[in-house]
Amino acid sequence: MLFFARFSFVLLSLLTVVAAADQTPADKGLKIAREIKLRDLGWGDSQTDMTMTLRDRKGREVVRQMRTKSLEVEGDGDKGLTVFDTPLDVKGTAFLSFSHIVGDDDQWLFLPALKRVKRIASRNKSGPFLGSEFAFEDLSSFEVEKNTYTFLRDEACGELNCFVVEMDPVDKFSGYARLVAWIDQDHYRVHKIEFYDRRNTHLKTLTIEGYQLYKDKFWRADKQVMLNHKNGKSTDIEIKNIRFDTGLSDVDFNEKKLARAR
Amino acid sequence: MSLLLVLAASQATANTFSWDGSIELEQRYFFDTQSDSFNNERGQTSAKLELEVFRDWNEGKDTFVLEPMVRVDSQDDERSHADLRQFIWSHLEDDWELSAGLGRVFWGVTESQHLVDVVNQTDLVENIDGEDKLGQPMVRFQYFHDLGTIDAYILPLFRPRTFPSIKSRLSSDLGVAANNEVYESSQADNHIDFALRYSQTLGVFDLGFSIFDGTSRDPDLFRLLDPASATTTPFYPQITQYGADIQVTTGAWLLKFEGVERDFDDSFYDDYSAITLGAEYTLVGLLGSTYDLGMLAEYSRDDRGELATAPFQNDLFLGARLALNDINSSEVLFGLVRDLDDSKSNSVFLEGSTRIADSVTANIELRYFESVNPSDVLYGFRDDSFIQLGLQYFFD
Repeated sequence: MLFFARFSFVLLSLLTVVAAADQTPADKGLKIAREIKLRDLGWGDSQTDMTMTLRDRKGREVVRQMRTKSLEVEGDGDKGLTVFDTPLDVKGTAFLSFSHIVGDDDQWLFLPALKRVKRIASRNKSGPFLGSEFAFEDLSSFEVEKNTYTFLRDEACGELNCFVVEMDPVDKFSGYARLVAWIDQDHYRVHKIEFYDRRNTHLKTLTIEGYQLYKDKFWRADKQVMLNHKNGKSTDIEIKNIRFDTGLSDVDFNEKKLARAR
Repeated sequence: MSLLLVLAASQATANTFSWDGSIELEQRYFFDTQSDSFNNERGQTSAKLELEVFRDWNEGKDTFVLEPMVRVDSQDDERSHADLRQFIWSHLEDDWELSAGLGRVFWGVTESQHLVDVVNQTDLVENIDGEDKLGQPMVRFQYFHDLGTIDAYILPLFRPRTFPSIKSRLSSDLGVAANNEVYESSQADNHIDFALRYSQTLGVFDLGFSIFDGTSRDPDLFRLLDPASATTTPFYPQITQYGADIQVTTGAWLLKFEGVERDFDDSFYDDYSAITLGAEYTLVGLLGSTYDLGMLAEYSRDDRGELATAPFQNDLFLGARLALNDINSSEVLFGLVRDLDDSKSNSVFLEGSTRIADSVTANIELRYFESVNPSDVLYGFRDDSFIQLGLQYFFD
């Protein structure tokens, strides 16, 4: 009996070693990325209230409040609509974006003072989102096809164990040479990302905190902090009042109806 | 399902009411005294109040927007004025929308002029750039479909363009009699106008096609001109205008086209067409910074040539928009308009803004005019180059 147990243990270890040897770091990285996406599949639609706190090197702060609506699109990137409430000089401005797995996203801006909807060029993905330390590409939806992956190592992250995975953006217009992400092994949630710019210097670090479970399946974080090591500025995103199944559909993400957004 | 949940749900869809507004103080300084010596003041002080009140009910399906504005000006009685930019009820459904009241719509894609945008009248006393518009009485029906959006308008009352008084700055040396318009239509400003627009997004293309039939928003200031007194009565002809606007958004490029064919009922006028062609390219992260630099070029042509009463008959607009992407949302727009038929007809402008406190922005505007030919549309502005500083406070 003891022998048998021992034997099966050896066999099991042997199998694991064989499997691991079979799997290149690229395979393992891709497998983790697919698992992240798979575990988040089927969230449908959601709405949130978002506060963005921009902080410069001298500690001055600007708080921006906005409301977001998001729609999952099967087989492509998600759709998002953001309406700004503060600062008051941009109140009522609405930003609509259709992110795509391949190619540029589609983006429109509604300018309330002129009652004008403008389609804007989306090659600005590496540019800052409204003066924050988040680039447009940092806020677009996670799609497996947007990067190639390399598993680097296992590492403790707080009380959890994390996979550390390098992600190399496929898009040549991305502002990054590579990203390094810490993903917990229990639920495949991203806890930290280091961003390396085109010169491969460590530009920014994103930390993600306060994960909560929604609909028994989907993990969403309350807080994201992006610190820019180059300029000393940081941006906090706090998300409140996350609601799923709010009845949103394609008709709520129509550029022709952007003037209605409130 | 508990009662609590039902209550929570009904609360989430309760009627919303909101209001906000801003007050802006502006100080202009003119570089020259006026050669016609109507007005030798070099300063002009002005204050503007804008409000927006919003209410919805019926689970957000019905909305009401009220948007009044008032301006008080130290120099120009015509510029001291009030308007309702919007006073409009709308009923919203997933695939259609019906609105009635005073409304504001924008058609088109270009920056230097807006050929196809003919629903609202220009509020010229606000700014000579033509971006400010008066609220237009309308019944509007929009139908949203996968094959495109249809926008139909009945425009029952006409609003004449506002003009600065002759004794004030930026009046183009021309005295325009206020409240004394002459119309081709016997129904005068009660003529009912119609407009129809179809728009669609197809991949990188944004397309719009429009027809407008009714009273021209552009007055003819020459037909009833009295040269002796240099005063005129605006004449508003009846027109049918066909418009097209196209934008191609590809990579860092925007390619833009607007074209109109304007037909007159009155044989006094020749039908004409006009176009604006443009391109905009945005450099992200200029020289390793977080600055974005957008570069714009637009060419406009009007087949009436030098006879055209519009300022853009064969002109080139070059512009640059610099966004600092800082926490104060600092931005500068620089533009130059050059008449390709008259090298001495140029205008330059610069508009900049930055946030200086939570709810306060500081704004700068500079306009410079060069014109030596009395037949040039800009000639009347040759002594009116100015710089303006403004402070705008927002509240809610």
